[in-house]
Amino acid sequence: MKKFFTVIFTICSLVLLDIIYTKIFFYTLLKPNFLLIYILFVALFIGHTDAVILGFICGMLLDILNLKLFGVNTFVLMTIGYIFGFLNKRIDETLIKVQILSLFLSSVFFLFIYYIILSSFSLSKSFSYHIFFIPLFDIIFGYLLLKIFVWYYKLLGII
Amino acid sequence: MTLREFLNKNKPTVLYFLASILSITFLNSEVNVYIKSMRSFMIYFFSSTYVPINNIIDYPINVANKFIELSYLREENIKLKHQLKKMFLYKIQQEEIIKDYNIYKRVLETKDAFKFKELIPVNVIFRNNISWYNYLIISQGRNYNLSEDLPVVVTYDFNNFYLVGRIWTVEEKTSKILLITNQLSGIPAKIKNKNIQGVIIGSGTNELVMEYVLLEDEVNVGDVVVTSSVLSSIPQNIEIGTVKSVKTSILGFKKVIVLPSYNINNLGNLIVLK
Repeated sequence: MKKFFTVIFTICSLVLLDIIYTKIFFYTLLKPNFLLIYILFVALFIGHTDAVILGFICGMLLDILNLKLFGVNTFVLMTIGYIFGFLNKRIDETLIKVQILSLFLSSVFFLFIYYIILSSFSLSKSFSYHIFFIPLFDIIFGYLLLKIFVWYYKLLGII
Repeated sequence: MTLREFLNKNKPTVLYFLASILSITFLNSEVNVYIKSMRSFMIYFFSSTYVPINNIIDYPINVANKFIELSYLREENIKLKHQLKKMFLYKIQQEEIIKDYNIYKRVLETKDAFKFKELIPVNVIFRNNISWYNYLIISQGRNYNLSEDLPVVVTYDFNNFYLVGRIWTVEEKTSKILLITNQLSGIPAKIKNKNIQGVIIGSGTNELVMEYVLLEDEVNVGDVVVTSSVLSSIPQNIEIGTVKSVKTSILGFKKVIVLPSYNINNLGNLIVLK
């Protein structure tokens, strides 16, 4: 039960963080994908099944809150949760280089599948160079967020 | 291996495939009306959370904006004061225009009623405090075809006219009015409804003196003094004032003290009779 409420609280916090970030830095096109970072954290630190389920839930939430193609975030986040879930208990997730590499790969993978799906539905956005900076943003914010998640979940005794 | 064991062993994979099918269904059912309405409802439901967040974030921004506005407040205040002054002047002008318009309108009506050749409304623009009862300046001159000796009257209800004086000198855009209270002014006058003639002479005060009234003429206090027909430039029967007292002068005539029928201290809009 503690795990369930902690997950709900974390997701709500991340949605709020997303809204606040958008509100404050409305002029920038760059925005870290907070829920993607959380799914990666769950995949690396908590468990494979949890990553798939939370990927599905967080994706649904993103799809509801974004007026884009419905289901695209659900599919992509769930896939990331599933793929990176295989790394659970197979690598040392506490290593910085593992975390950074995972963040980078997840971000690139997310963008790649996301744009493929959108273009397959003829909804692809016009290409801009800021897309190359998104993984960088994800790495910086993701690394900090991972540290916070690890500290918080350890504090609660979930990991 | 039983199905249960297989599902337990490959739980993430099974879940993934089930959820994938569901998400692909979502992707393909974008056009579905029910999905769209459900999504709209959810967005509406979640949008309420944006309001307090926006308020919290906007608060320091609003405070900062208020401080920025404060720096412009003084300049804005000066501008507004300036505009207010302008508006006040416009208001006064507007009122004057309306007042003039009403006077012109009444004058046109009166002209026909009294059979004057022409009535020209004029405005007093200057009155010297040293020569308060001697003369005043009006804002019309040759540009209004005014000429010397034309009578100037004042009216309050356009039924009665009261003699104020005559045009003394005329300039291009101004004229000087010789008031009947000026000691240099002498206007032939008579007692209304009586055949008693005399000359109204100014005394430099609020009172007028009617000279050359014969001793045998019966003049009573309260009699009305009007212009006589002796002077061709001034129409007869224009009211001047009322008799205040009657004395005997050293010249062997009656000296009739006359008070003007109007407030000679308050002359603003006058009319020149042509």
